[in-house]
Amino acid sequence: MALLEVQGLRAGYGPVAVLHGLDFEIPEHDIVVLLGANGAGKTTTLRALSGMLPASGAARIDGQSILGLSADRVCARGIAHVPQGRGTFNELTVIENLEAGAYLRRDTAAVKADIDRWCEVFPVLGQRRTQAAGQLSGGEQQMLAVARALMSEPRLLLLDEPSLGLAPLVTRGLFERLAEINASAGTTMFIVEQNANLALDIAKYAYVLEAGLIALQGPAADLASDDDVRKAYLGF
Amino acid sequence: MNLPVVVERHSRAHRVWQAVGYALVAAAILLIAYTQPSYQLLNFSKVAAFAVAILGINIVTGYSGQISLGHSAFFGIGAYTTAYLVADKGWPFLATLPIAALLGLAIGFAVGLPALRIQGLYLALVTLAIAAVFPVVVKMDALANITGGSNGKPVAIDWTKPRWFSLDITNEAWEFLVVALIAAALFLVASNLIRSRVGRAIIAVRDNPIGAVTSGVSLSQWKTGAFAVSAVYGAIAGSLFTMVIPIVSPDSVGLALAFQLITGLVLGGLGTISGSLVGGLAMVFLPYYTAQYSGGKSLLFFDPVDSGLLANVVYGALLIGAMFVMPGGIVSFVRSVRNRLVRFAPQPPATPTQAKGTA
Amino acid sequence: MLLLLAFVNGSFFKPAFFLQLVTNGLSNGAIYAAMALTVVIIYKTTGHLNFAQGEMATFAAFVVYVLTAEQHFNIWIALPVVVVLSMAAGAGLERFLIRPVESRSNLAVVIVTLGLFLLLNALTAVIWGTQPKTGLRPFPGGIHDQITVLKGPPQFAIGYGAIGTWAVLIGVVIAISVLLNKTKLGLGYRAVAANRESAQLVGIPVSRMLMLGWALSTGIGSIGGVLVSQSSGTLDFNLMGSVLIYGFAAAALGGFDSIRGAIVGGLIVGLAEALLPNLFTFVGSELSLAMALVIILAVLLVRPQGLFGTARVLRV
Repeated sequence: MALLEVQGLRAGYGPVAVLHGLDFEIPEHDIVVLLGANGAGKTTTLRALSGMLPASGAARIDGQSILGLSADRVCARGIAHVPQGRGTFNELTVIENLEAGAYLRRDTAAVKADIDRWCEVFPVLGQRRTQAAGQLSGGEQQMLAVARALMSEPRLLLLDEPSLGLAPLVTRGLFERLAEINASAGTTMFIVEQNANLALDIAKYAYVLEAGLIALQGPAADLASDDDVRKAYLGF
Repeated sequence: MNLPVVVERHSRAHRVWQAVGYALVAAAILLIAYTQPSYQLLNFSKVAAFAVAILGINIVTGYSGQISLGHSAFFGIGAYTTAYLVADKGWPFLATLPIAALLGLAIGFAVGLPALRIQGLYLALVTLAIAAVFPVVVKMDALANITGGSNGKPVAIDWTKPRWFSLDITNEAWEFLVVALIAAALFLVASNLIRSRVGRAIIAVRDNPIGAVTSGVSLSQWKTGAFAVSAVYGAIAGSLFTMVIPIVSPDSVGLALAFQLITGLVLGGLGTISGSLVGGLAMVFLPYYTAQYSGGKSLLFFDPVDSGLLANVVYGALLIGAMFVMPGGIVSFVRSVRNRLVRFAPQPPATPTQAKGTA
Repeated sequence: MLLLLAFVNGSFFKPAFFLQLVTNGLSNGAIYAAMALTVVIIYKTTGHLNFAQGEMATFAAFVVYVLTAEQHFNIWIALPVVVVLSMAAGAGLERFLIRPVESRSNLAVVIVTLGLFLLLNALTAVIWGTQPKTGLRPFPGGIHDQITVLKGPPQFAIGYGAIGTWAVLIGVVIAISVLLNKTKLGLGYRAVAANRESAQLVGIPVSRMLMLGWALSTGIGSIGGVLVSQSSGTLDFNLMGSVLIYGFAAAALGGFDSIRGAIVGGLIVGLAEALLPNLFTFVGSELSLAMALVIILAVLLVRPQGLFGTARVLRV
């Protein structure tokens, strides 16, 4: 049984339907990528999963349904969503951001230990522990958002276009870290990307979303070498 | 007959419908003038004045989307203008109307310009503060000569029917006719304004400011203009009101009035023209009926209650309830019922074959 | 500027007089600061202004009156009880009156709070009549209940009421600071204020945080109402009308989303209200309310984020 199983997922905004019935699954410990152009419905998919949008169909994590749950309950079930545009708490310090990420946890000593650990994994966070998140650069905020999401010890990490607005070098560094975290801690990741070179590099499997439906899927390496995919999503 | 009947806007059927509507209003006015006793004529005159004021707020808040809670101040400016010019300068009272309007225009611009830089909620706060401060300014000793200070300014207004008027109605009915006619004219102007390009520009500014700007609509012009026009309506309303109730006092044009205007606005229907009339009716007759109900009677186990306070309790409850049950006001409710019978559809766009070209 | 000097009031510069003005100003300022706090606490998380806050405070003050003057409880027992009740009422209001209409529009929320203003104001008068009652006295307020610093004339004395008001304000500020900065609940509240969506995503129960904001605000408001009653020596249904406007002016000056700003803004507004009318002869004390309006206007036009608020750019 895969960690996340989704069948017939439909979602939209008011009268406008965006997702027309998605079927996919995410095996535990894997990194899975969702590709798609603007407006295909990638963000909608993540928001439907994390409880930010009402959705119909079926979605189960560890066999338990998550559709219809409010966002904070979904988080309690072990799904952490790093939203598009980072979504850091800019008025709060770096440490407070991380503490907020651990809001649902009760083990204060372990939380402190985790904060130290992530400040090591992302040294720049350690350097700016007491600074307000709003003073960090885009790349630093992205790392903070990822660390914050990981603070809740999630079963599944959702990332919405983590490379958006970041310089290529910074993006490369970010994805290397993600791969390391997946390798060492086994954290399952579902990454949504538009321009997806680096994402496909670290992923195991990939889906292509077009106009609210899964158009293509397969092992990441295969899709990376597929001509159509390369032209449409990899820029060459 | 299939319900709903769909009528195209601007078609002949639509024009007939509109003409019938106007005729009904005219008939109602005449009917009231002929049949109502004096005290009711007074009430209806007040309705006309308040309706104009609410129409003003509708223009700036309902149609142009700028929250203005302080129209009692414009009302007060018009009221005091008329009071001062008639009592102190001996002007004929109807001649004060254009002056009040001009003053309203000037101050409307003066408020509308800084209002451009203040967004939604903050604008509500500022206009509310203006409404609260206006009576305080009026009571200032320095202005006591003009305003009569805390005691207010009584005015002598003579509504004797002129000799050239042949219809056999009382003086109070003549008073009502004049006020109602002025109000009707103002409603007609506003209605045409909203339906014209001007109106569409204002609505575009409200619904999609960024889109409006990119379409070449100058935001600042239209928003300030809407404010100025609404202030004119507010001032005229105040002026008319003084002609009907010949005394102005600071407390009658303060926060209480501001709240009552908003209640009328919401109950009638925000963003509608006819809603302004409904709002005016609510503003006058709601306290009238609560006065009838309470009139010295004890309410449950409370002491006999001032009818004005009871009206305010009802106003408050209605305001809150309206947001839950009828956010579009009474007019929207009536329209939804009407839409089951008759629906007005926009004109279909012209098809290419209809365009005439030279061969 | 030189022309203004012609209007300066001479007696302004006598030390005792000046100090008395400052004391009065800071005393009123403490109350304005408390009201500004109520504005800011709700604004930070919800972006709404509660126009009915003053009337809610008045209603609470009347309940205290009923408990003390009619049921003869000690005011220091009645006050905490009413504060707790107010907090529950505030939370309920947010959940059942504000949240359902929030999704419609900002204007809808404004209208609901205005309706609440009307309703509570009139209801207070319906229940308790329009005749003013004697003011509430959490602190001794008699003529001799004061610390005389300078014998005078003119005398400079600090009333126990003023001291008590400051003590209460300091207590409230400390309590709020500790709650917001040192507790998990406070962290959740500040997270919701910073980014409501992200707060949901990390599992913070946003609904409860919104209710918490209103509960805190209403609780502080009821304390403010009692303090105003002490300071003005009276209690009637229009008690908080102008006080709320001063509170808004203070919140604007300090920055609508800054707790620190609310305190500083309140003290400045209080000082300005006390000093300006006595400094310049042409400013009558009845114009204080106009001064509040001028402050609001000036801040919103020149520097909308106030002294300590965060600037949010929304320009078309």
